[in-house]
Amino acid sequence: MSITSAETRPTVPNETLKGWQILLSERIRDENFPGSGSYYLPQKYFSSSGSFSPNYKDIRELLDIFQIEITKTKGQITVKASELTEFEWPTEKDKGKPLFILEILSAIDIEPVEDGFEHPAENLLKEALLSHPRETIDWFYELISEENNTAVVASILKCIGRMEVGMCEEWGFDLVRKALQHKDVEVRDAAVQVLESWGTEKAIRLLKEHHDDVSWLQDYIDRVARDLEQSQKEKHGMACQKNIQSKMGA
Amino acid sequence: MGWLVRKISRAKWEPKPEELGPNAIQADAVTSDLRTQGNSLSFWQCVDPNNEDELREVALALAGASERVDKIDIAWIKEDFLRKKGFSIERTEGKTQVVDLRNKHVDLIKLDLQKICSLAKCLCKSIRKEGNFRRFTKGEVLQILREAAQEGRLYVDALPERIRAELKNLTPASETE
Repeated sequence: MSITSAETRPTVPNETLKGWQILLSERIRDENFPGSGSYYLPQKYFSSSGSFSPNYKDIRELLDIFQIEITKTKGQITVKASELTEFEWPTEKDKGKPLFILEILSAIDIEPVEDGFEHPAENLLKEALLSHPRETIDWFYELISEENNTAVVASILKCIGRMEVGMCEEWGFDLVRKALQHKDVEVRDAAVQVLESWGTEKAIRLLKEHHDDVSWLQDYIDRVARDLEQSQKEKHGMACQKNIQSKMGA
Repeated sequence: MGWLVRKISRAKWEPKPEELGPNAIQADAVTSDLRTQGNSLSFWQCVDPNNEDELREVALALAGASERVDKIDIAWIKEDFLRKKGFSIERTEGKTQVVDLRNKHVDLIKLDLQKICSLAKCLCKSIRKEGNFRRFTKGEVLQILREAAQEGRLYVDALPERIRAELKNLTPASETE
């Protein structure tokens, strides 16, 4: 990790400055930085009321401004605004989590995953699975069994459902089976949506095995299973037709 | 005077008795499904929600404003009821690729915290007690889009690539060529 000296540090344009300071935590400074610093924070990180509420993206941007190599950051970064209470990132709950997971959580925190619309977390999730497959899959299981924020769990599941089934086949169905047993209906609903999206015969089997206490969800499950079966039949029919046509042509 | 229909996420309107009490509305329902822009909320008009064709039209309008094909949840509430409660309704052009549906759109405007709270309660009652919601599966949404395209109501090339690809997968090759 490195930080440029005060002389060479890039200057933040004056018009964006406000009278707040960013202080790197003692720990980070002691361990990694040769210099200590108190730096002015650009106005854009403040709301109109003047409160300082940076999200992960802001922090990342701030770190970029100060030329810190974020990939090497470990542990806690404390940002202090001189006239405000201390802001800590990661939060107590998220401490120790790898950066790629924090990045996914932050993307969902900024904007929930909405049906019908793409979400930045989809790509982050794909990247995480490619770069850290074991850690990412373990984290999915941990989320299903331990995460109290069910909206986050549902969002992650929706993003998983948006990936190609081939990318998730080995572990995905087992994960979804667990999600279908979750006590929260939003998580179970998202699990059904994953199966609807993947649409394979295995997905149909899982849907048919599950019986939900919530009537509208059970109705959805029944209809998705019917839709998928119908679609499988159509695909099979079209494949047969093509086969016959090619044989006749030959 | 008819009904106003809004896209929702049904699960968010489910009670969480253990966490919030028996009849409470989740704050997440409000922050996700009633997220205002410029103190306004978008609704689609419908004369009779018992008429399945009309609900499909709303689903089409919503799908025609989407980036990808997913299930669609909608819920409805009586327009007259909202007017009596003091809500201001303004006719605005709907943002959808289905041109002939753009004039079926209204905004609830000048919303403040009290009105959002009141709206959440009305919508919750409508969903939970009166069953005024409908979920369209992804398969149904695709079918609705395909029919609209075949009827020439939807210009497929103007749709996002992801939706075009899904429609192409659904449609037999002879129809797309």
